[in-house]
Amino acid sequence: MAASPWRFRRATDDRLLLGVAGGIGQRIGVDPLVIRIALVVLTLAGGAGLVVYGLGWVLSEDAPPGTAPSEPATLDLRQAAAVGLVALGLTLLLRGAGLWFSDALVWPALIAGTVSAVIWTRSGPDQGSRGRLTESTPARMVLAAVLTFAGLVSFWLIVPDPRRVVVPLAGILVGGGLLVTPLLARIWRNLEAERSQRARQAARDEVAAHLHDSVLQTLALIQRSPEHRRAVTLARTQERELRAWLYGDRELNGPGRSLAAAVDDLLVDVETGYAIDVDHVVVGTVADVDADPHLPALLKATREALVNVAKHAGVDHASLYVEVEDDRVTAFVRDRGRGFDPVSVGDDRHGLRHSIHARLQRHGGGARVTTSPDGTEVECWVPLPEDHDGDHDGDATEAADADVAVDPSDPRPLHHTDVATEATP
Amino acid sequence: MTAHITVFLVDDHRLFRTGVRAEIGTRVHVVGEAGEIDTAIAGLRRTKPDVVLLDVHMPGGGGREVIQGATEAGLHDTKFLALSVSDAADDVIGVIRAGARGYVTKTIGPDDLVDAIRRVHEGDAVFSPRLAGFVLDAFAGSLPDDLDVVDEELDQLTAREKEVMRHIARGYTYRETANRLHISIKTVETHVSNVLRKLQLSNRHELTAWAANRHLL
Repeated sequence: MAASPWRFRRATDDRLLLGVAGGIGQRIGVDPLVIRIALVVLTLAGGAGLVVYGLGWVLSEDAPPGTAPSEPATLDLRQAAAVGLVALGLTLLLRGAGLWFSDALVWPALIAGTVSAVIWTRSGPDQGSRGRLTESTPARMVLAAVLTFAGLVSFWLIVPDPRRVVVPLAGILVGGGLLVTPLLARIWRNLEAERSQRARQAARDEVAAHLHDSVLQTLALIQRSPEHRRAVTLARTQERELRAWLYGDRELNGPGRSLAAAVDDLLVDVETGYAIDVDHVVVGTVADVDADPHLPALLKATREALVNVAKHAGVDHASLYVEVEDDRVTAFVRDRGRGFDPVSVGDDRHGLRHSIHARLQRHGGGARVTTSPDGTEVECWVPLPEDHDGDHDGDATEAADADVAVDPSDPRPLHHTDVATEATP
Repeated sequence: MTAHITVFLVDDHRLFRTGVRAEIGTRVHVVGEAGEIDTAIAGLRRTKPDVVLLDVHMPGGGGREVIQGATEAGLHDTKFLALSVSDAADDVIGVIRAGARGYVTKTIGPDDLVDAIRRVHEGDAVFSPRLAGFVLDAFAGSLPDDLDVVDEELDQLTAREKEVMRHIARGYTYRETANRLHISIKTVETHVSNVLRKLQLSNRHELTAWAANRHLL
């Protein structure tokens, strides 16, 4: 930074002409746009703005080469209002002093400038990248708005004199044209994109319908012949993959994996590696599983529970139910296997303790195992950040908590370990 | 016990019909089969079966058209059990709303299939875990404000119905669900039948919008 408080560097990254306004804005932390408007207004006031601009250029220096572009100053409403008021005050002062073009020119220009500024700042960040007048669409928009409004207001001010209508009218036409052309072009482009998107979707639906009527049916048929265990597993995995591709929501949801897609991936993995079929149901959605701090842990614990069924329960079938609730996501893994005694589980089987209980506790969740000779159910849950985008605002919580109780009418020994460690955030 | 139940198969895949017939033919009375909508409706008129196993998807339409045709023909005592490979939500909800009393996937084993046929015949609703999941999804959340006519009774599930659906979605049978909730199996069946009725009659716009938007699963 320059030693003198009056010296500042001209902006290299945010400039329309020489970067003076950008430099001043960065120096005093005001949006350069505000400075520019003030300069324009002062210029209209008898050319005072030009003097200030020239002074600014003399007082400033070029940024040394290689300087990183500074963070663009954000528009603080209070600062903007302050600079605006100073400019207005100066304008009125200069008007009083006689340094003035004419009311018919200055006020329309002032209004037009303000309106343009509003339009500019309101445009989204994607189109709001401020650049040189010749390049960027927002600059075009601003210019167009300036011309249009200036034309409109001068028209209103001078309409009694028909000869003087020509210039404002030209302003309106040119401005309106500039304003409308990119808009029309964008609408046209959007329509085009939508049309081709629809065509792609139609083609995909057609393929889906065909595959559905042929391949999926065959895969279902193969799965009805349980004597060929290997073929059944293969058919099941293939069916899952094909279905995920046909009806999957991957590309609809952007880059992230949805909860349903993540569960699909998990099951393909488990069913390929172990002799187990899993029926699964997912209720509710989370758009991007991998961006969630806890959900990957839940999926890993769920995988472990499913693998335990395959290894130890003595059955080849399990049910998985995943539900997105208000404040947490719960996964139930249920089998009709032989059950086990959690107390007597050997130290060599770390899966339950480490991969499920400890992992979920670390994430503020927990696990609950209910087991009897009729089967085992492992309930795993992790908390959900408050701003999650699931589509449930329902009242799903109380029922899941009510499930703690196990069947008291069952006289057989029943084990129930509970590490329900609900962490308070 | 189930041998007296007359069953009609409607599926455009002959191989599938043959397979199912071989599996359940000794335990229920299969009175006919068809692979197209027109022949199916004609066959139903002729045989007046107790239960129709109905493929959701068929060329030129699907289960919905068959149910409508049968209803127009006055077959009010015939029950429909939908079978599908797709699990696409709009298909399933569509065929249930057309009047099917239950929905199972084509990978269902013979024992479960016979049991489902029996239950549908007795007037119960047959919900697979997947269908229970659909229901929970479709009835999730509070009612939208822009719904013109809100039928509180039809457009929402009671807490108990939700619990029953949740258990079915988790893979519990009706009996196991009854034990866990300390209610009789008859009560569970009543809850499920009520949910089926809501699924068929509710105008909850989320239900249809949700089903239409959701091509996954």
